[in-house]
Amino acid sequence: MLDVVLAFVTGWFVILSSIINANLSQKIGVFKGVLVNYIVGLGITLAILVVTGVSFRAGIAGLPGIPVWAFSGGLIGVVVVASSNVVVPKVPAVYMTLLSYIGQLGTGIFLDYARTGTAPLGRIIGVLFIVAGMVYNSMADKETVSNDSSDNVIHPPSCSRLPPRL
Amino acid sequence: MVIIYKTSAIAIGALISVMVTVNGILSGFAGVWFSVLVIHAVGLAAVLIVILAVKRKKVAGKIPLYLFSAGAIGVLVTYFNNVCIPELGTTFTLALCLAGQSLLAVLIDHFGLLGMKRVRFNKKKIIGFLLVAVGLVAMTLF
Repeated sequence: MLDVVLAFVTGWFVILSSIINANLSQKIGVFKGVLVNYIVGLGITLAILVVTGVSFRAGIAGLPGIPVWAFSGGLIGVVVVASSNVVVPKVPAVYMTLLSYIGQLGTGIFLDYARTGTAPLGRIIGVLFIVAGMVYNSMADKETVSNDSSDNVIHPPSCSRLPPRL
Repeated sequence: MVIIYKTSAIAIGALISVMVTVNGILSGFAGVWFSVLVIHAVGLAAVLIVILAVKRKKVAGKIPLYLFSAGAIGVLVTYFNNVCIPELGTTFTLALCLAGQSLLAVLIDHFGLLGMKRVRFNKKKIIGFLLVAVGLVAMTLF
């Protein structure tokens, strides 16, 4: 149950960091913004590891045994930011969030299947309902918010033209 | 022509899904917090390479301190993902996360928080949120 709450709250943090990152990148550029993010994040993580007494030696010793692809997460994050930089200005605001969510959930089904060998009907139905809800709300948004994809202004988060999560 | 960009938008979503899953799997190998370190180190290396290769925008004036906080928030996001993905699976974790995002987004818009333009909550969207809620419950039931 705690995990459910954590995952939900993570969404709030994603929105917050998106807004802050959008402001930051307006000042210093997208990639420098990412750089600042990772440097600050790295520093904080190091501090947390030191304070909680995690053994760096043991951690580093364990690294060679891990399959190489498992390290690609950080790299994929940068790819996401770079591609969003190109794609977001070109996609009408109302569609960007929706399409990203569809991509995330759809891929999630496949990834869960690859990892666990199961694709429960509840999960598939759930995704369909969620997508339906998102599509419905996007249509509602279409009525109220400007769709101009050439606009450089930061749009309301509910249409989220902000760079997706890192 | 726009169809290429719309397809790319879906692809970006797919990449995000892969990213959080890979990070979750890494945390199974390296430990929840240590993997956050590794993820940031790899990301830092990747973005340094990009910055060296790509033309830079000049820094304009001073940077207010609060703009550095995104890094801290990102640490929490990564950590929570690493905890939740192995437990709940990718789809459910992302679905919950998206629900949280949508909720906060309409709140920010409705009250015009964080410098965003005030966009009153469109009551029609309650239906959409109900559908999302049903979807989330369906994922837990069967």
